[in-house]
Amino acid sequence: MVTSQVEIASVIERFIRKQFRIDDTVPSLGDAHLFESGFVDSAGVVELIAFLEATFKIRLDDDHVFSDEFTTIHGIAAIVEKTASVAQ
Amino acid sequence: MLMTYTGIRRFGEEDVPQVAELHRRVMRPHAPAANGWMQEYRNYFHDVFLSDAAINSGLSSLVFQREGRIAGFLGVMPRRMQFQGRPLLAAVCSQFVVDPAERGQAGLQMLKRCFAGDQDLSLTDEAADCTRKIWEWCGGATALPYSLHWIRPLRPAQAALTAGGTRAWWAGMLSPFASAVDLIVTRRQGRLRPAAPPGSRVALEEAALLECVQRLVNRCAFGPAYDAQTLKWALARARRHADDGDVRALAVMDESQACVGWFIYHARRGGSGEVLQVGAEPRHHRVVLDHLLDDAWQQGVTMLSGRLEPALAPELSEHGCLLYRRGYWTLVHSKRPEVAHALQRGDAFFTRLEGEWCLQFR
Repeated sequence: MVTSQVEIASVIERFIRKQFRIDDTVPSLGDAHLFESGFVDSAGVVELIAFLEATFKIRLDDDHVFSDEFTTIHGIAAIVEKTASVAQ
Repeated sequence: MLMTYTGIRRFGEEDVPQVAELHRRVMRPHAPAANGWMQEYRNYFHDVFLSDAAINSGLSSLVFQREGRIAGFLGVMPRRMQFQGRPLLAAVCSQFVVDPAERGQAGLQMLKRCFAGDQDLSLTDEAADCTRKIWEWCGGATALPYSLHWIRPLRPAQAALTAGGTRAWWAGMLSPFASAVDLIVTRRQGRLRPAAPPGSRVALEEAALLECVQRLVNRCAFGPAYDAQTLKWALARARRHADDGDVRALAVMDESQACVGWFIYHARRGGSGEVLQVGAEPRHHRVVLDHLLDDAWQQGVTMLSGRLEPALAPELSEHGCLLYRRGYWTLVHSKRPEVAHALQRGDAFFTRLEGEWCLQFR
C-alpha cells in the first residue's frame, strides 16, 4: 500500500499531534524540525518508528533514522514513500 | 553496514566542565549552581568516568557534540564480570543525558555507538521508562527479574511517615505518635518484629567478602569478577551515600562459627535501609535474611528496601517482604545472546553493588 507523499505526511502529522499532544493552535508541522522544536524526544522517536513500520509495512534501518531527512514530517514521508516503493 | 555516528566521541578531561553543567541543567535543575557544589559535581564526573580503571579498560564514556557544544553524555563504567567461569567485560551505563534541544536522534545514536564498543555486555539497572524504550529499540532487552524491588516494614507507622523521603512538617509532629503505635504493634516478636536468629554476625572484611562473592558467583551463570581493588572501590563509593546511613557489611556465622552468608546495607536510624547485597547458598537464605532483618531492627531502621535477587524470592516472601516495581528497569545488551539471557532468566549474581548505586553522585 503506497500512497502519495502528501497522504503519508498527513498520516504522520496526525499521529504526532495525537501521540505527543500537540494541539491545533500549532500550525502545520510539515517542515518543522521535530526534535529541535521539542515535539519529539528520544523515546518518542522509537514510538514514531514503530508506528511507521506498522502502518506502512516497512523496515527502517539506521541510515534512515539517523539521516537529516528524518527530522521533519515531509522528510520522513519521503523516506517512507521510497522505502515502501522498494519493498513492493 | 557500519554506521558512523556523527558528533559522538570519547569523553575526555576537557569535556568535564560542559558535561557537569549539562547534567546539572537537565537532571538537577534545582541544584545550587554555587561554585563549591559545581566543583564537586565536576570532580565526580572526573573521578568516576575518567578513573584509571575506566581508561585502562579501553572502554569510554561518550559525549555528543554539536557545533563545539556538548549536548549529550553517556557514562560508562567498565566492570569485570564472568560468564560460565570465563571472564568478560561489562559496560555499566549511567548518567545518560541529552540536551532537550537535541533530543530525538542523538540519544539513539549515542546508545548504538556504545553498544558497538568492545565490551561483551552493556548494563544499566536504574533506567527510567524512556531509557527502556531506547535500549530496546537499539537491540537491548529488559531483565525483568532484576527490575523488581522489595520492601519490608519494620516499624510501619514510622515507615509510613518517612516513605519516599518525606520530611514534611507534619511528619515531625506525628513522629512521637508513630513511635508509640510501633511500640504497640511490635511489642512481641512475630510478623513485624524479627525474632532473634541463631548464630551470630561479625564485621565482614573485604578479603573475606571477596572470597564469599567468588564462591557464590561460581554457582550462577553470570556474576562479578572482583579483585581487591575494585571491591574496595565499590564499597568506598557506597559509603559516600552518607544520607542513606552507614554501610553495614556483616557475615552471618552459624553456631559452629562457620560463615553461611553475608549482607551489605545502609542502616539509617529512623529511616529506611537500602540493601545492596545479600549472599548465601540456598539452604542458608532463610537464616541470613533473619539476621539482616534483626540487624536492621537493632539499628533502628523503620523499613528495609532492596532490589530483588531472584534466588531469594521465596524467602523474601516468607519474611513478609512485598515485591513492587520501584520505577527502575535493569536493561542488558550483549552481542552474545546467551549472556543477556542469563540475566533475563535470573541466573546471575548481580546486585546493586555491581550496578549504578556505586556510580551515583553523592
